[in-house]
Amino acid sequence: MKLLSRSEEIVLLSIWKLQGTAYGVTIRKHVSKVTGKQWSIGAIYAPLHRVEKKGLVKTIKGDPRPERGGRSKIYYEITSKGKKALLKIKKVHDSMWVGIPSLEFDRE
Amino acid sequence: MLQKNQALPKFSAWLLEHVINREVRDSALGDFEETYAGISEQLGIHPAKIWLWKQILKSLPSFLADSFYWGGIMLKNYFKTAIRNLKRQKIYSFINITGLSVGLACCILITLYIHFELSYDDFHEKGENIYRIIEIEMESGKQQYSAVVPAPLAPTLSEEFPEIVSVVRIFHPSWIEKWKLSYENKTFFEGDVFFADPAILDVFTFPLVQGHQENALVDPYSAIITREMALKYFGHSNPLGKSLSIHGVQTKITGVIQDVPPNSHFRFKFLVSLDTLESPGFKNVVYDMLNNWRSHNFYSYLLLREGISSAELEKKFVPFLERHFNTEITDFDLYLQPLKKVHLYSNNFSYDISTSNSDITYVYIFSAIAFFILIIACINYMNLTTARAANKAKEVGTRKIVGATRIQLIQQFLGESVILLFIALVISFLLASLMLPVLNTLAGSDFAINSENLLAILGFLLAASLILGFAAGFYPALFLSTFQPLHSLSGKFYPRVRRVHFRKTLVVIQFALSILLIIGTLASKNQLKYCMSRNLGFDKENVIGIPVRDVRTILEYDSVKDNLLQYPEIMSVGRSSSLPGKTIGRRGFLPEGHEWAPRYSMFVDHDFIPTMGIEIKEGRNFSRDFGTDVEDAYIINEAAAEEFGWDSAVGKRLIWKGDQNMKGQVIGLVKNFHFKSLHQKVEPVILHMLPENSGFSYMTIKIRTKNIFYLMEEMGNIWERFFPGIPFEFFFLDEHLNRLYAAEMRLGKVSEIFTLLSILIASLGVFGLASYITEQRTKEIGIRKVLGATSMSIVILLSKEFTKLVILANLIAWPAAYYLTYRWLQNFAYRIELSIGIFLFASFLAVIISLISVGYQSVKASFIDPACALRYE
Repeated sequence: MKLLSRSEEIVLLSIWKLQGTAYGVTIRKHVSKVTGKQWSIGAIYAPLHRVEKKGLVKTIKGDPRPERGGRSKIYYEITSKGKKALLKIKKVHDSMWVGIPSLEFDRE
Repeated sequence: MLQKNQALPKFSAWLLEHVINREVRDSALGDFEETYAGISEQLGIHPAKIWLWKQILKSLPSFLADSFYWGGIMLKNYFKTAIRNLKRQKIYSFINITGLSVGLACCILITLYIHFELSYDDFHEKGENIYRIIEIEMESGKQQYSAVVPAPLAPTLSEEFPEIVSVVRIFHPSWIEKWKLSYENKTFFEGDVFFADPAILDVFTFPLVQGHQENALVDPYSAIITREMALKYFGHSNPLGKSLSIHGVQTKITGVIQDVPPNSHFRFKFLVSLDTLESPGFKNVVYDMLNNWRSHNFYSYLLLREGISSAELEKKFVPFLERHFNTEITDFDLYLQPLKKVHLYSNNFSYDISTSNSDITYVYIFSAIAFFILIIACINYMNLTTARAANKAKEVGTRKIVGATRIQLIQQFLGESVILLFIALVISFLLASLMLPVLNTLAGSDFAINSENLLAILGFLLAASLILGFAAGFYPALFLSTFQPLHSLSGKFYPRVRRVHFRKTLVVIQFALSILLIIGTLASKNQLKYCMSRNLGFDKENVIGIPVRDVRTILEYDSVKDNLLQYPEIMSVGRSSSLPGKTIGRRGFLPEGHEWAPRYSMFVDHDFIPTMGIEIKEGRNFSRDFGTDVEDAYIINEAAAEEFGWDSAVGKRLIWKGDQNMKGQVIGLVKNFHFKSLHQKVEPVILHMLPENSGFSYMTIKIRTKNIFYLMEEMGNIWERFFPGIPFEFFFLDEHLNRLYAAEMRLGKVSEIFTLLSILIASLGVFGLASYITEQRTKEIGIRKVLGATSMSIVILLSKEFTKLVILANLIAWPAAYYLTYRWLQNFAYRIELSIGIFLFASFLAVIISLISVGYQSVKASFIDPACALRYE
């Protein structure tokens, strides 16, 4: 299995963090907060769609809500395959950081 | 409660709905709604709208990319299934691709031809405003078009009508086939010598490679030559300023131009300034034509001011014509022919500048053939695809169950047909390039795929692939996508009766078109055969013509003739001003009891009529025993006697209005002989004698030998001895006459090829369909055999159905074919009767072809072991 892309990783981690309250709006909010820049709805859904197709997340349909124009909230939940993929990318990150000299800027 | 203005505005909702991939649409749209509603509640409707549009603009690229990404994955799947289907069903794929690619290749070739024909004269920058002056004359109740007008006409028009910007006159006499040109010790006879006003370089677009456009043709005795000719005469040295002798007159080369493009209706190699004709050296060519309103010998072109309507201008010509042509001819009109129409709409003009003019009819005929072939190939595709429906039914059922919508299925099948077509397109392009040289040899053409028409071809291919892909793929796609999964998966799927009828209709159309093409080809072949074998009223076999272009030949004619007659193989030698199939002049004659009028006439000598084997019906031939024959004897043909209403022609009076009036009488009447092609009726002609040793254009030699090469060599030697330096040219009369039907021969050969190909495609289709139907009926055949049917009866059973269709196709094709061939034959004054034989033969051919295509399959089916057949499926 291929490694996750950065945007996929971010989306997956957010879903895991939100633990059962993850749907489009909350994911976008969280991602924007963590990364410090505003993500467009489109920018969220591209990786979201991909991880869904890959079977890393599954969807749970909520009740139709009036504030969503009569549409249901679609909740996202990580599958075990998704967890494995996250662990794998974490391992890669960890092993990449091992022995890296400090990147902190010197104070002047 | 939700307020109304909190819902997404309609347009943005619509836009998003169409952009976002189906699978995340609900979720993402919900997010939009929710966030939008939230913002509008907190900050108001306007900031919400601004947010919404910013959001849409920012999201659009991601959503689009997402859609395409997953769409692409699906496309890959379609592609995979398409390729798998192609591989699995090799025969169908082969038939389909062959049929389509052969059909498309034909269309590419025909497109090349049509593109070339339509591109004539479109390289002239001012072409839109250039018109050619055509004379329309009423002659025996028929309008006669002629492209030659008097020399003073165009300049006078230009003086009197401010609408005319400039005029170009071109002199290229049809009675002089070749001119003698020499430079230092090089001498050649050249045909493409044109004399023209200097404005030709300004009105038309013939860019000079060397020399100056403004003054290159202004002075008398100046000439422009093409690059090719510059190389031929001057090699690699600079031709400018060199002196070239044309017809014995020294001219100075003042310019070199690019070779004239092949799609120009007149193609010169030498362009001499018109004023050069005033030289005494050309006196024996132009006589007093340059200022004569009664001598029609100049091609004239007008450049009109922008926005002038030629029809309006023509109307204004009426009083002008009355003033200048008030004498003999009353019924006389001018027509301004647009330059773009010259090539395709001048077919029946007499004395045209071009010998290669085509006819728009041929463009139509070939377009129709291309269209027919395309339809036949399309029908093949539709038939085979729908026939395979049962095999596809399972796939469709499965796809539907897994959630494919109808639209997706239609997309898939359309995609499949486009893929198939694409393969066919690539092959057809290769095929066309391979067939092109063959076609060129057969048709005597010189087509090539080059940078100019490549765009047209690619455009055609693109359009064809899209139209064909949709036209041929749409019906199968619609049809296949309607299957109910339950039926198609339970294996109880059979095509409904209506579908079978539809397929049969398509087969009938296919065969009707093929039969139409077969009949057309046969009819044109027969007509051509007729043209070449009809008794023309003279012997065309074993007659050799020698064109005479030099004054020395005229002077030494008698001694050459005596020398030739030494050979026992040479039976007689005659001379004349024209020969059948060559240009024949008209001179003014006044027959007893009639008006003066220009009539066809030929100068001949005593020996011409016997040499040609023209039969004398009444009276006698010109004779040396009557010394006065040279001055006052005329021989006319039957058509002339009929027109003049003379029961007994011999002894009737006739006046020739030449330089002076030559009164004489008719001494003989010859049977009609065809001095023009069989397109035209034999017209009245008057034969008379030239004074000794004056100008004639052809020597005619009647021979009787088996060893023609030996004789020609001997004749060449005699020629060389008498006329050193003058090339020996000759032609065989029968070959020369056959060339009159070059256009028809070309059409015949080319349409033969295309007809064959269309039959091939149609029979491929029938073959495929038959194999499918036989497969469908395997079980039925098994049962029939168990019940005691013989192999023979099964073959008959299966073939009967197709034979019926072909016979039906005949019934449709016959009237259409009759009408079209009848129309085409009207081009000939002498033509074959459309015999039922042609029609029967075409039908017979179609039946045989269909039987062969069906036969293989049905014989195979009839030998099947019933046990296997019943276990089938």
